[in-house]
Amino acid sequence: MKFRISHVGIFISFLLLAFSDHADAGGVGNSLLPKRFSAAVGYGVRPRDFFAQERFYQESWLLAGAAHWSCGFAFCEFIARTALRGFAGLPESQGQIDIATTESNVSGELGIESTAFVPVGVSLGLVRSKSERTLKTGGLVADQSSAPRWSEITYATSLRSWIGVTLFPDQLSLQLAMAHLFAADKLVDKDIYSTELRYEF
Amino acid sequence: MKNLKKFAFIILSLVVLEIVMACSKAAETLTSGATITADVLTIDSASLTDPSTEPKFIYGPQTFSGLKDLEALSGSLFSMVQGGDLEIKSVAGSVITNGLFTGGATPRLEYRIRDGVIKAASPRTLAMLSSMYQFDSLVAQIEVLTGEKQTDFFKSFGSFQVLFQPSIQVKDQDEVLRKYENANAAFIAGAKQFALFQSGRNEKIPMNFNPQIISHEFGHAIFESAFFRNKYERCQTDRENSGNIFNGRLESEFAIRGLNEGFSDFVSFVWTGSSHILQSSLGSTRATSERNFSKMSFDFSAYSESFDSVSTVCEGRFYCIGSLWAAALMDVFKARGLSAGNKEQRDLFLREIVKNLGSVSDTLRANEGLALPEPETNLRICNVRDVVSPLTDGDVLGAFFKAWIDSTAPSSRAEYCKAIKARFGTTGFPVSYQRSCP
Ligand SMILES: [Zn+2]
Repeated sequence: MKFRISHVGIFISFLLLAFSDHADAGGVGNSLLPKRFSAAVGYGVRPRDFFAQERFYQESWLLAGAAHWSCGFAFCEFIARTALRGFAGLPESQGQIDIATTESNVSGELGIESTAFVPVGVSLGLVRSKSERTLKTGGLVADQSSAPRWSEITYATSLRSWIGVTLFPDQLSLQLAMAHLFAADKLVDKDIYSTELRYEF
Repeated sequence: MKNLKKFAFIILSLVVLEIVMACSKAAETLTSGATITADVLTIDSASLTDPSTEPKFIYGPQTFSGLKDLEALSGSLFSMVQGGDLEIKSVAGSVITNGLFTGGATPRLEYRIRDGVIKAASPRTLAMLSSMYQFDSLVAQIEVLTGEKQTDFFKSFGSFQVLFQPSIQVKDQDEVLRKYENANAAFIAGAKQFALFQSGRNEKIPMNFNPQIISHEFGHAIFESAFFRNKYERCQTDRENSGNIFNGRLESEFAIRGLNEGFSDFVSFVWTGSSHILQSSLGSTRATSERNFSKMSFDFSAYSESFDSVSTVCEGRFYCIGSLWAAALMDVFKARGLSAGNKEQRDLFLREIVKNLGSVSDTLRANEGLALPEPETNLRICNVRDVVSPLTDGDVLGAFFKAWIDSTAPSSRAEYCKAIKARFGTTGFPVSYQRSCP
């Protein structure tokens, strides 16, 4: 996993280096203060392979806040964003034994967005996921396992890309985003697709 | 230069990110070569005071006997394969009599290890581990159950695979698929594989890892080994099936398919102590109580003669014959004063039955099938009948029971005769076949 983080990191660093050279030459955007901020609400789905013959999409909601800096060009911004995502519970059986899972995650990411034509962006981030699994048994099953309920925190790096439409310039935009999580852990589901409404101020 | 600071900030963030990842606690792993212990579902045999009731279950740590590789869910004698395509060409009850499996992958297990115990993190992994634990235990106890050495029993298995949730493709017959949807676990005859399908959401104990169901399916493997002489033959249409014995003759007989199911239900009882095979998964329905062979409400005459497209006393087709057979075996078990709650006594009795099955098979096949009635014309062209025919099935059952009585110890003949007569009457055990009864 480290290998991949480093590669993506170096790629983005080169990208930023290229931009910063131009920025220095042009003398644009010489402030460390964000140019503006934005807030977003979103709805997401991730495909889950629940049974061999049944794939379903687990829904999630999202709240995010971001700071935007000029990257030295017109139509180009650096973005730092933090987001909270909550997932809907997985389908549960009506039976005598089942494992229920709840999950939510927090992410921080750094990226770059171009608004030259339509808003398009890419970002790299860290996702901290907290999940809780609960063994559910009915009257026919006596639970003698050591821990019927356990929660855990897992980390993954994420690569997120998005494309959007501007509804009101510099104010409201609608975006389609896809995030891929890099994690060797099989318990981490890899892809999340979402629609986000972003308000800039 | 300000942008260079931004750049530095981003690089720094990435470094921090890597450090966080590296520091996040490494997950507990198993030491290689160690025995594998996992939380699985098992039967609480102590909960049973009466074999006609459904058992209770325990979810907790159990140690596997022969499982060597957790990630691949495999041991030296068996392995689990996830996914793949199972093409079903014909099926009889929970036995797939003609199927072809392709593809499949190493199982994708989702688990955590806590204090050395593997804990399933998803319902699917719960099913995989629990079903595999049953197969693992059945394999380990095969000699206790059948009297045959483990290596001998599994010699013919090639690779014994448990197919977990393969995609089902059914060729030609929609009828087959419709019937098939009720089965959540199956034995693939000939190929000696087991298939576990997706469970219904409203099954109480999911069938695909219910020890009562798994041991029933495993019973089919024992029947195939003992009665079909390790080689399940399919009826072949491209040849003239003359004489009393030909490929697939016994395999296709309605009555024999019933005896196979009944034997497998009895194996389930031997394994768990309960004859109420389906109740724990499917709840209280007519179909589940019909199968509870220690509480039978009909005999063969009532079943086969109350027929009007479907029997009014038992709807389970050849399964009804099976339940009567299992009931007869239970009668003998009880007549000997053996205790249903005693696993050693159940095992001992099963070993006797398995041995007899082998002798009966030899007797029926001897001298070109001389002991068997002539097959129906339809059977010669591999048209397999799916409804009871009192006369034909009575003759096949009669031949089977006569061979059975002949192969038991003389001291046991009276009790077997009594039980079989009581369950099958003179329709299912015609007088002409009762000559060996004392
Ligand atoms: Zn069966």
